[in-house]
Amino acid sequence: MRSEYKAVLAISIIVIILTISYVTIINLLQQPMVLEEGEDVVVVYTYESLLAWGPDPNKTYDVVFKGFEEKTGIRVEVRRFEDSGTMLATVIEEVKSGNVKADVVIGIDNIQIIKAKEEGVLEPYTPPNIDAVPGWLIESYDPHHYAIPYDYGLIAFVYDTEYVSDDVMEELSFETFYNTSMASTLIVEDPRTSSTGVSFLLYQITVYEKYLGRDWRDWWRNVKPRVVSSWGDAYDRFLNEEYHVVVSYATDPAYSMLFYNSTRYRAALVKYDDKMLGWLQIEGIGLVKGAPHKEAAKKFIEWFLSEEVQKEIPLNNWMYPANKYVKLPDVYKYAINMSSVEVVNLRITSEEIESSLDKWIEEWVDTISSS
Amino acid sequence: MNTRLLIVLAIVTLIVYLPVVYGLKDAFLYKNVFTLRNIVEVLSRKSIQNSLRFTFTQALISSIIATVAGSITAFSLLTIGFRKAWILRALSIIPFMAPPMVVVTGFTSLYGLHGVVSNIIPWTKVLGYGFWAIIAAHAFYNIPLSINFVYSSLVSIPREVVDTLHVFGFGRFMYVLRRVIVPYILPAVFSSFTLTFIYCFTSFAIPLTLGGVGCSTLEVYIYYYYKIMYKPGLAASIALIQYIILLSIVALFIYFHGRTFTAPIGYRHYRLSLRKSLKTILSIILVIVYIYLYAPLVAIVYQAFYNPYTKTYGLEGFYRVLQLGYDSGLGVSTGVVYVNTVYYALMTGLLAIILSTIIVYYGGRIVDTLYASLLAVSPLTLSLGLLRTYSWYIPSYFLIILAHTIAALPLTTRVLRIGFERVGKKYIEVAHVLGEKGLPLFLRVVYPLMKPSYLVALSLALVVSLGEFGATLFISTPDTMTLGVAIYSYRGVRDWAAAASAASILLLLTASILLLLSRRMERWL
Repeated sequence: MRSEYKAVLAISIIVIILTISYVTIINLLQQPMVLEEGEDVVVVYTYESLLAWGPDPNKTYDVVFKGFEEKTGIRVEVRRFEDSGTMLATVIEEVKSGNVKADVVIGIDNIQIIKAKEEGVLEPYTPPNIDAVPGWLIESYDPHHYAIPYDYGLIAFVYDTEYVSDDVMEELSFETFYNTSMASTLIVEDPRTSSTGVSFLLYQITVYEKYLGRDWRDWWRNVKPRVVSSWGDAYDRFLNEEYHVVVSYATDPAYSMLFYNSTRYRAALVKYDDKMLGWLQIEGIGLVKGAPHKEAAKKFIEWFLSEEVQKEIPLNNWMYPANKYVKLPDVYKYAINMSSVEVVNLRITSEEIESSLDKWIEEWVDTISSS
Repeated sequence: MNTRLLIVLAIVTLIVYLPVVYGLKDAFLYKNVFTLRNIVEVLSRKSIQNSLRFTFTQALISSIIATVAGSITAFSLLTIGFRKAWILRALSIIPFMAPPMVVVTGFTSLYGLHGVVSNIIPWTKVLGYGFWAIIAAHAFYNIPLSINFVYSSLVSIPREVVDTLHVFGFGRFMYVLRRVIVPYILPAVFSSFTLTFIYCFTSFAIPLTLGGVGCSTLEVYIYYYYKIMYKPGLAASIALIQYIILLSIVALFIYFHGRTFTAPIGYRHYRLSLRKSLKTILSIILVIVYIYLYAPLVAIVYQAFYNPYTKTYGLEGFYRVLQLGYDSGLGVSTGVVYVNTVYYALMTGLLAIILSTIIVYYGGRIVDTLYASLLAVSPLTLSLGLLRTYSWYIPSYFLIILAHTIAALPLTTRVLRIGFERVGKKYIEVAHVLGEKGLPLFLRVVYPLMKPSYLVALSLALVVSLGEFGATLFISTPDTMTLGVAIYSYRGVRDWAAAASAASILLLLTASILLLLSRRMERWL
């Protein structure tokens, strides 16, 4: 045999051996799903950290996904993405190219749902147990049921009580940060790279434009907070005591109580007319248009809204469950009480967000860069 | 054989370039109609114009500083002698592949508001936040490049030339420096400058996190339009503009690289007789630069033992990263992450070596330019293109290998090109006369002479694969996750110690590979 062929053969053998060993080891570690004849399946797309924040995430995973398999005999294939943005981008690609693989998407938030509807990647579906989800929540998320809310949380100012007094934060308004010493303690996320940042910007715009009747850019011009690219980076700097107020979530104090038995970090919302104003981040579950396993997908959506799954939400996703019959764990008394909050989302329509978000972010960049 | 390999080369180039075309084609599409509307729109946006200006400025300043610092350091390495320098030189690559988000945390813990260094030396706060912090972090990443490029050029200067000029200059060092050293190393200096410029131009997390909103590179807007606004047309238009600008820089890189002098095999090292005072100054510079390069890495290892929530120290981070069972924060078992990481690295090493060999052995300048210009493609555009082009036919783990190979090719090709040029034509001609040709010629004559070069190229490919982050993050699902992406996921579920532990393991792996494989890299990079 000529030496060229020998070399090509040797390389091919190395590649094949490496790949076979890889696939074998991965299969041994993963125990891949093998469907029996006639067995049904549902393909679920979600983000990586769904229900991954609890004391025993593996048990939660079993309750939610294995629980569905045991109950219905339908196998669940979960594909996780780095974040919900990547997940939505993939679903849009797949639907547009006519190569739909997903049946259900979990984790579309109340801003992404606007784009998902516009791109026509979801199909309206009303599960039989929809009555368990409060009407106001559906109304602020998607009245047309292209996706159904399964949890919600509030964007909040989380502060370190060793540096910032409760008295100041209990009477918080956006103007509180006009004080230079308060402004220098604040760290927020960039709306161009962080969904928390987008939610916070919409929160601030809605309060300024719809409640105070003022130009929302005034706040950014006066406060000039430190802006970083992601929630993780902002929180990292907050914990390292570089900044003492961070834009995060209202359930954070409950989280630090459960895991670290600490009340050091607390959450606050801005006040207006003695009411606390809050921006809801709502996450929904939806049926993908052209889903290959539509009936199984519908059953899964119904399951995900059931009390069995929803009771796992508070301590594993650190959001309020959408199912109103689920009792909140005791530790939630450290989180902000939802009943005392006026939700500002209802003051702004999804059409307004869709048509103006890009413009607002452009103006935001201008304002921040020039101030 | 030549024709067959050229066909292989053409096919490979097509395979590699198709995703780039797919990634950029949206720039010309609006509602499925061909148009220039997207490009006109992004160019008319003030934010993009500002971003373009900023991207260019920071890349220029970062490259100048990194190149000057790296060149002086490379020269300082000469003063400690060739035999001892190889370890320092091999290890100087490590900062080049450290995960960006973890490096940012390392920088902040050293030079931030309450940084370890800035508390002692207040003016160093300027390196913790703001424009100069970006420059400092970019210098941290790219000084290693300059050190390696310039050092290999420095040691390639023929001994005879140095000795002769030394006599002509009556032993004056400045004369030798001006007449020999500077002219010899200048192409390598410019070559590392242009490569650093390309890396800084496409930087994403560092400018945004260390510099704030005004410090947004074009890459930030590519991310924004892809992932937040879902406007692929605008994202692709920015990516296209970026690609066109960088293509001209790549052409410069190839030009300078082509003029870099490489010493033939069998040359002898020269000795520089420097004054003691100059030698001391150079040694001090060397110490300062290496402290600067390694301090953020030490900070990363420190964070692996520290829990910022409880303000306590422990090994919890390592426990989590080293348990091989299912980790719900990752969505997969940690064992899979390690297997993926090692498999991708090995396959990338293999593919990059094979492709670089074909490119170097049979390709010319144009092929070199084509492959080097892959550096100009934004990682986001490339990964989106790979998904669009091949995700229906190729499993995602192979897409990641392809992305890693594309990232490694410009570096491995450079190393093998230098190695090939050093072998010299006369050996090949002699072999021809003796009747050797094609692959046997390569296997029996060229490869044995280039062996050290292959070891360096392999180590670089492995290191690039281990450290690749941008494209992998976009393509991977938990099943195909790497250790680099796991760092990001651990941060996502608030486990900072685990993130730093994973980063420490990655750094340890890189250091081991470099020390094992790069024993003789001093003359070959």
